[in-house]
Amino acid sequence: MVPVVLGASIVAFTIMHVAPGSPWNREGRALDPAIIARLNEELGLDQPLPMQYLAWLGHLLRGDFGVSTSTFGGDVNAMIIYSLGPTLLLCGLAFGVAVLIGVPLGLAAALWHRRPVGHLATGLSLVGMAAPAFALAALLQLVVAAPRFGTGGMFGLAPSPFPHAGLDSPWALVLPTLAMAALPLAQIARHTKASVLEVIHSDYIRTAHSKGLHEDQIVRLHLLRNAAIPLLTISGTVLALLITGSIVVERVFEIPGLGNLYFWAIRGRDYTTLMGITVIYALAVAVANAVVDIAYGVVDPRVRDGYLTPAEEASGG
Amino acid sequence: MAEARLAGVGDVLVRPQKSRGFWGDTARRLLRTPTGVIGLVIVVGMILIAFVGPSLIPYTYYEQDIDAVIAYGGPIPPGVVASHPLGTDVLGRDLLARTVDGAQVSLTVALIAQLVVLAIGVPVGLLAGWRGGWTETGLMRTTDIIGTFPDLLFIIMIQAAIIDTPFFTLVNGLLATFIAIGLISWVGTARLVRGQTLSLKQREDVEAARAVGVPGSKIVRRHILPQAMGPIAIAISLGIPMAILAESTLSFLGLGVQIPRASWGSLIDIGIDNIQIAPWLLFPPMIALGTALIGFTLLGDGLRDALDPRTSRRR
Repeated sequence: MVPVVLGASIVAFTIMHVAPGSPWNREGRALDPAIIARLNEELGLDQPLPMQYLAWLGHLLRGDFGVSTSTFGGDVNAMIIYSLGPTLLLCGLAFGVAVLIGVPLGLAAALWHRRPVGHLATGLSLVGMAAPAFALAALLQLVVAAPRFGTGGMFGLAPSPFPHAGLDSPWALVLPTLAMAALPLAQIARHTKASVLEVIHSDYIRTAHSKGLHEDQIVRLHLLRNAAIPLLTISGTVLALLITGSIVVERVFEIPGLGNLYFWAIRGRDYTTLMGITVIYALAVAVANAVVDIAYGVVDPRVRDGYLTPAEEASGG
Repeated sequence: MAEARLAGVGDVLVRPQKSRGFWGDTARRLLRTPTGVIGLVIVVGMILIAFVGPSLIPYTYYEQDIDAVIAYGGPIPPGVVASHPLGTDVLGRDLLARTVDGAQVSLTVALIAQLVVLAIGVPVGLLAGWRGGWTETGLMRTTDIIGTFPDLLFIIMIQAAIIDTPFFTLVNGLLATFIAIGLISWVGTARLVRGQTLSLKQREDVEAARAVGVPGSKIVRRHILPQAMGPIAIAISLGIPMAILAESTLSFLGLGVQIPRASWGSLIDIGIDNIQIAPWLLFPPMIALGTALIGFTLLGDGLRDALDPRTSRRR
């Protein structure tokens, strides 16, 4: 886990610093070369790249992300801690919604396969596939939030209780969460359906039926447990979707989160902030992968007892 | 046509089925799945609209019909002026023409990004799976490192890094975005191909080829790659909607397609900016994007059902 995150930080550092442009030449305004030289010296940007990286790494190991190169003198630690809360909250809520609705939806689509209920569930999850976070966010802005500031309400709707931006009340979380949850929800539903369909015709399910187990017990004890394995496999995709979603949804709903911070940092070539956020995200992905590997063992005795490795499990065992 | 006599079945004549080849069979099975057919219709329709459509629309995506906008007194809503069926934006540009241009951008990203995925993911996976040892460790660790980046973050980073280089300013900045998308998406394909290679390596035909001394590169080309083509095709086709999504997300953030070119993402962005005066701007790109995502997903699903005997058996 640590080597992978370290590798990711080296890759990110190299790409950022090799790229043309610097924090001092954005928007076409030229700074006095003497000032640039002084700024570079102050922030250590005049050092050779490997030295810069090692210096950055040294600070990181002491828990210090450094000083922002864009907002002058800004403390990256403070900026990230301030932004982390809203993003974690949104991602957590969206993940909860996606799992709590996506899994039952996929299950319904599989259990009532080729029957009206199943078609409805499949159709719903397909609609979710067509709703990337930013498009859905735009639609929600239009339908629910826009009447607030349009004269007399754009569609003759009453003013909405949901604010169109900011994070001042719990209500403000509703729309962004919905916008972020749709695509992961659809992915989870699709995979649940596929994996349940895969399991549902297996011998042990037929055995369970023939020995007279109740339908509930079969679903709970046999179906879901086996269907959970492919679900774990796509959790990486879901995490990536959530992070991507948080960037655009935070932009649309003007939420001061990590995604918004990243957006402005890339615009301003804010090396230290970019590196800080990259490390946070890479760490999140690496931790998620580790948790998934452990979860494979919890769900599947074959992995726990060493008959299968998590990698084999992911490729279909 | 050759006729064969089956032993033990008496005088029953069996006409051997003419071989249609792997892809012929796949196409036939794809056309038998309803999802595959719907997906195919949407995708083919989109290709037609993207490349034939512009010649049927009297306006280009960048042309400003200023007279019409002044005559109307603002951006024209859909259905008011006959020559602008979907209306215009604030600058008097025809929304239909812009949405159709967005289809061209999306299809191009689908093609280029997946070409990059094929060019990197397949060789890396083959090499890692076939060679094993340090080659495998090195390649797969690199894959892991790239895979640690959330897609959009990596794309933004790469794109910001390469877009101002002389090559891309000369060719087209858009190409930088497409290639950046491909440069993260190959990770999954590489892992898949490695897994396939590892299991195909154990097969008898590969063992036989090795025993008679066929060189490794030829075994990989003749035995392993052809047998791994099915899963690769599924991965590539299911990667297309993800590439389209990535491009439109980038353009939505203002980091992808640059003005005056239109992408569904940037059109939605413009729609949000003008949400109070011209809300109709949001719908065409949104519907187009949604339809394209569903179309390619269905096509990929259909292809998977057609190629994977395990899933088709239960149907």
